[in-house]
Amino acid sequence: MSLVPTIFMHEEDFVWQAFFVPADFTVKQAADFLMSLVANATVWPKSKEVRIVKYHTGEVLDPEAKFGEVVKPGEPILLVWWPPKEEWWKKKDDEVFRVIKETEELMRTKAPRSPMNIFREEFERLSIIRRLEREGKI
Amino acid sequence: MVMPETEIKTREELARRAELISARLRRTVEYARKLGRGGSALKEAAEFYIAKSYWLNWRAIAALTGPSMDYLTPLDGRVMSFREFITEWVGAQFKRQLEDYGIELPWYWRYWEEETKWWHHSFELGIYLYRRTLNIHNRGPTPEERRWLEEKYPGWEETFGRFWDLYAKNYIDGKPPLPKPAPLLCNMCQVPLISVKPGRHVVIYQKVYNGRLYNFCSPVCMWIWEQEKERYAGHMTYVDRLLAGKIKLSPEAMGNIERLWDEIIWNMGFAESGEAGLDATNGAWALLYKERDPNYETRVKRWMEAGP
Repeated sequence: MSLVPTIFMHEEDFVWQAFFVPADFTVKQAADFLMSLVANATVWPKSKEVRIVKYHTGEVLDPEAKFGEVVKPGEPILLVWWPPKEEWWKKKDDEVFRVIKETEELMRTKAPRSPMNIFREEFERLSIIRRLEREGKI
Repeated sequence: MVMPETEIKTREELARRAELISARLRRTVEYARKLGRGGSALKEAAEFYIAKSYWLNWRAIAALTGPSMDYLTPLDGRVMSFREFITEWVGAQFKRQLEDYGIELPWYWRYWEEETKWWHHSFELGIYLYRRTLNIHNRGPTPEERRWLEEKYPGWEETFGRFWDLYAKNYIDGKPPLPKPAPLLCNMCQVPLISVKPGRHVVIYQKVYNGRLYNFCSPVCMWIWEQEKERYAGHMTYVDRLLAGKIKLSPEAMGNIERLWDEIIWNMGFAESGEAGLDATNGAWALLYKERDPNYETRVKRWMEAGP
């Protein structure tokens, strides 16, 4: 049986979790299976359907699709109570998300580089290992 | 008046230590000036090390001191919350020191400030639930402690109360709360990827390097890793090794989740008696909700009906 290493989080949970899901499960079977792992442990059980949404793209997966064909190993997925009042996973505009977005932007524009990156040319020029590599000795 | 010999020795020792501290401080200031003269590249390098060290130390201190101060210290012994402590005794002093040396604050300062409100509460939920994988004992907050938490962290009840009510209900129903899946660990700080603040404030950062997928809890951890990826790329967290099949488990464990957790605990080198973390009160904290919290049943009904 082929298993997909899966990273998932329920919308009411506080931690990303990892488990294996059989690749031949339908998305609905996978959602029910993952829900059974967190219900009564970190998430209050409810008599509601759960669907799977891709974290990076916000795509809601077809419950009848084969899990192993639509979710790649390690691709993060969200478990969402269905039907939702709104597509909350696309709506990231409160104060906490503003701070997150601002930090992501600062990471690109303001965060300092490590000495290895600042002085990369010098490191490459002075490194004994690099010289031996250039000379074909290692 | 002649001073006793012990007092003379104490004074001499104090003077010697003062001189030592002053010499060290002088050297530090001189070094900072030298860095300044060395140009912007050296300043950037210093800022990198400061930002990296501050962040990784923050993770350690929030993980260790946050739960200790806000959850495990008896209520009558608490003088301040962890957030009050970290904001003034660590954050403010650090900020003043950096200003003295003309060094910029770490670029993620606002993100750090946001984490001081919530992060260690999510972490405590995790170390309580996954207590068997740690060799420390834990317990949940009593109804009185929850009132203190709400006072110190407005919004705590709405955000974290639902989880503690669920753990309490498990105990009341005779089923100690334990997890089934493994928490995903950050490939930089090694800590579980928890919400900045539960209630859909979910982030996860991923990078693929040399064909391998790496997961990070925050933009800061991803930044540290990206700056020195050759240094960290080879390391696998416990959960990475589990997912990669590098931890030997019996065929029986693959079909039985209780057995799976037992084998993981044994693999970590913990025996259940006295080594693996337990609830130090054996769930007594949870039973208090039935006795002392008139709103407990109403809340349980609400959590089972409402969304976040």
